[in-house]
Amino acid sequence: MDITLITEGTYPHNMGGVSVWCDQLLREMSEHTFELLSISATGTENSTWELPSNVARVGTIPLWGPTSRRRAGPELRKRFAPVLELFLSSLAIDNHGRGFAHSLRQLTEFARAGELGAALSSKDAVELLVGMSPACNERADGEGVRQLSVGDAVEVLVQLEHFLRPLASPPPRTELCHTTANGLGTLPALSAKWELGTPFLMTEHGVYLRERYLSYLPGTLSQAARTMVLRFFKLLVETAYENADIVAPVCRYNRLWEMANGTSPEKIRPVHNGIYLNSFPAAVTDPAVPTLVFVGRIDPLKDIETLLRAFAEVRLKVPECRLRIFGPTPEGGEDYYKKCRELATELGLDDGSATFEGPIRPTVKAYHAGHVLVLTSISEGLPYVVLEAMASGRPIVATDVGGVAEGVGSAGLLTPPRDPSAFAAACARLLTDEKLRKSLARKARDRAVQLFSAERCFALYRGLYDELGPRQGEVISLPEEQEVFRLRSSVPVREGGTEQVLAEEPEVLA
Amino acid sequence: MSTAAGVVPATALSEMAPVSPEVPPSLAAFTGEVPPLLLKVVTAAVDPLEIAASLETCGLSNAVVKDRFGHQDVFGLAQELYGSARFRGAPAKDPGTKRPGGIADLGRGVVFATPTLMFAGGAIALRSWLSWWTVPLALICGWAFGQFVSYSGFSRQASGEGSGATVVWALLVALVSCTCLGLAGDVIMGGRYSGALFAAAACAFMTAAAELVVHSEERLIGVMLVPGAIGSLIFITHEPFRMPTIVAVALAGISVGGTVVAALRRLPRRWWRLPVVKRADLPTALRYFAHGVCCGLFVALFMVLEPAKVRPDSWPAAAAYPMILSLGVMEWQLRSLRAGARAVLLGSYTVSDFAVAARRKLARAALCYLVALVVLTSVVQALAYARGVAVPVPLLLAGICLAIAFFLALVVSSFGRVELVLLGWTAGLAAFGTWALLTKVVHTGWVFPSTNTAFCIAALISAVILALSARRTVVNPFCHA
Repeated sequence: MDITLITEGTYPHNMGGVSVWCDQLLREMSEHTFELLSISATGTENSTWELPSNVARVGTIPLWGPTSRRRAGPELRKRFAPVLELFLSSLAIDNHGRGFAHSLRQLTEFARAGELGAALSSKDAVELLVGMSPACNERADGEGVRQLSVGDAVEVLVQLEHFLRPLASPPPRTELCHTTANGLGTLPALSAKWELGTPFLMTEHGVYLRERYLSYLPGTLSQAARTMVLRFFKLLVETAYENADIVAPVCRYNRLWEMANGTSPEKIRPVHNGIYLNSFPAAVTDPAVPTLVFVGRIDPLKDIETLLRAFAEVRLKVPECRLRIFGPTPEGGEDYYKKCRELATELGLDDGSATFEGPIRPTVKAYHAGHVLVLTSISEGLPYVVLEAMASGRPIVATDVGGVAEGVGSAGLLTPPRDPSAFAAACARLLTDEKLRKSLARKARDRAVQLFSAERCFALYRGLYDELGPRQGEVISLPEEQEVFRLRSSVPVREGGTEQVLAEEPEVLA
Repeated sequence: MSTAAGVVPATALSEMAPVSPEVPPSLAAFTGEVPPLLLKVVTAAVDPLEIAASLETCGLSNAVVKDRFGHQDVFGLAQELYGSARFRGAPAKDPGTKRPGGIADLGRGVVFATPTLMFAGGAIALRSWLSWWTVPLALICGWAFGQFVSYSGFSRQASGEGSGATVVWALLVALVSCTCLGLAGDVIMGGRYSGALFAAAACAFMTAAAELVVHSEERLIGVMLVPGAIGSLIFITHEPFRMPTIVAVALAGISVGGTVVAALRRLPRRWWRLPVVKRADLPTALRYFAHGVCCGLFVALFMVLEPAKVRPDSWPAAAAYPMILSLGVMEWQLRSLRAGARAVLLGSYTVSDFAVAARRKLARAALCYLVALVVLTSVVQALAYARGVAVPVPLLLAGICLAIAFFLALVVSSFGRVELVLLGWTAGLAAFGTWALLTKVVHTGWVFPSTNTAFCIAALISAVILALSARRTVVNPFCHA
């Protein structure tokens, strides 16, 4: 089968969990031919991955490349006005997104003709947006947000012009579109679905909409501009969920967000990430000194500060304990790294007890170098480090965020995020209670083997491809192990939805 | 929850709640600590999902929400908070930049003016040991490569990319082309071989300085220029030091070498692996290159047209000094205009209101610059007169027109409309070229204006076209985005 794999900001230009997953998928699905469509920042990024031979073509859609210098003439402005009006009115608060999908289709025609950039960058567009902004900025309780100024309108239109650039690319002419996330990457898939009837499979690692909310925190734009940009993303995400044939989140946690945005529960098929178990053999010996290991980027989302504070408390109970932090500092994250180093010094951890050791290859060495893997993230999907550490026979102490609980199961201890004391208590307990640690380590290895092998993950994807492929075969039923976690949601579940009781609840420390 | 950096203790929250009605009761019921960010999100949220997105990152995961608040998940709590919180929109963050315009910008202008002092020394040298084409060659090549480097650098910065190898390749090409053209000039038009060396050095300086400007290192350029400025002053005045020419040249060489080293210091060991220029940027980068050629050509014409008619002991190109000395004012007014127009943009609610206010800002900035230019022209002419030098009036007017054209070109190019700048320069140069063709080659027998008058008219044509372009550009709200 010919499949278009659509990525945004990840494979093949960047490293990270999603890129690892993409590479695994392409290599495992060697019976299929892939076209890779990458939505990138500027289009000048180099490929950081060696592409497998079943990738027939690579296309790039740069979002932030140079803006077209074309100007909108009177004829274009006249043609564009009703389309823009429909598009903007669909963003109005009380309109519930009516007309959004239809206006996207109409915008596609302008984009393909190379006219969308010019049309969105016209004074007419600014005037129309300023005029319509009150309808898009009213809160339900009647308290209005300040109207868009000319500057705000320009900011919104400039951002929309960039976000809508994927519409200019022709619809992929393959038998299936597979996106690795919701969001802008779904625009080509939606085009293919609407124009050619191409089936559309969406994998969701992080929750795209949630990440957009966190990117546009109050203060990043004026309130009115922020409202409009976030409504655009919400409507786009909802449209994509509605049009996707199957939504395959990497964890059940994502499912809550998907249903909160209107996805039918029956089209949600969680498929956990998988790892190559051979690359992560179970550790046979333990380090001489009690050691906690962190593997990941030095990034605020990983909340290294809480980790350091917790470790300082652990040392009060286990004085000889060490904390080894493995992982790169991403570009732009140097200030955070410095802040963490300063905090370590302030906490008296600069005596060699807490060490920042940079990236390590292969990562299994890092897992074998400690007794326990620690993860203090404030936001996660289903992190690979947890699965890899479990396969390496290490118990986990982690924060209960995203899909971490699903990954860890009963093979570790979970604490609330940003709670150094609880986290320290869990670490100390595992370091001092050898029997418990050994027991959790065995469970971890067993759980990884049972649930998180790459073979298993991609067998499920193979089934999804078969289901959506030209043969239109019978609907696959996912193995029961995929449904082991309780759905903790206030979002109403359709009748017949899959709610099952968690087989093994992770231990959550209050 | 324990204390963490940037977290408000619960006691502080409870104290705040009675006097801040926008804090919802649900938040006030927190038993731990509430991050200030969460309060901000709750009161400014565009919908309940935005609050839900922030809850977990602030430590309130589904499990915590269930245990402490009895809601089934973050969505339930988010809905309650959204419904009970009093809305308070958050304004866009102040980027924290000081409002431009002032002493600092005047200082930047001095930095930009200093190398021109070295060119003044070069202009004197024209009469003694440099050929007439040397300074024009250096100006044209240096300005062009400098524009190319600065555009590529700013473009990379804007797209958040790391360093590129533009400056290295631009330096190499500039040095090779300047040296070859210099040597060809020596052979064809006559001269001493020092001309090629001078042109290559000056061109290298301008190219390297452009890279430093991209990184906002004008101060470093200023430091690097100190030896060259001293050498140039010595060379220009010759008194009271009577320092040998070779020392002045060595001092200028230190400036050039230092600037090149400073510009290259950021490059990694394997710099040749870095991109030179993005393919998508190439057309615009070439337009900036052409803009640099035009700038260099105009100034070169200004410097070499009339020196023979000025007394040998006078200042060559004295009419150019007001323009050079007003570079600081030019920079100051440009930044004030941009900041003012941006403020107007954010405060206008119709495009026509914005256009009227933006035009006023442009007119004010141009007028301020013109007044400063006229004052400086008067001062320079008074000093020149005191030394017995009479600069022809058409040349003075040409200087004013050209300076205004440069200011307007700076305004228009700063808004990214370099094609309009090119139009302005091309029209002026074409007018002057036509005049030269008709008088020097065709000999029609008509009565033509003098060289100075023709140059003045050419500069005026450029200035008028650039003024119209600036007026058109400044009212386009997208140019301020």
